[in-house]
Amino acid sequence: MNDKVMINDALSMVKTGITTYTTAITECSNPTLRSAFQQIRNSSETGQFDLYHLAQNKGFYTPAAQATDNEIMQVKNQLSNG
Amino acid sequence: MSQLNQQELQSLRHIIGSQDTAIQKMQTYSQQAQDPQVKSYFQTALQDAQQTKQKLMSFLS
Repeated sequence: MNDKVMINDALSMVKTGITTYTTAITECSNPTLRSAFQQIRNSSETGQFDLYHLAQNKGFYTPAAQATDNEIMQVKNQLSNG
Repeated sequence: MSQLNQQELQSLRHIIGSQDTAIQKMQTYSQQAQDPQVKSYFQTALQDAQQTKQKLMSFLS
């Protein structure tokens, strides 16, 4: 398995993990456990951004292209007529 | 014993299980990685995953 595959798998795992922690937080009554889940989720989010930049710098991940001004204006117009 | 309800116990069971998978993967990936920065990332991620598991296991004691 090459570095690109492993890094992309790590990105996918972290993304799923953050979602899992967020769900667990909303379902948690115990304040100590809830706080632990929140701390882990927060550090996961910080780590995810570092990993994302590493993946991008190494050419392992290509983010979505920038939206054009026209595309943004079109969405804005659609939502302004609601 | 911690005071946990059924939902919280199942969350811990699910999350700690996933954490075990992550630990196994980070061990393998840190050994296989070629790029030094990538290897370093996986070594740190392995330590983080192990610490997180220990932290969560403490709620089961």
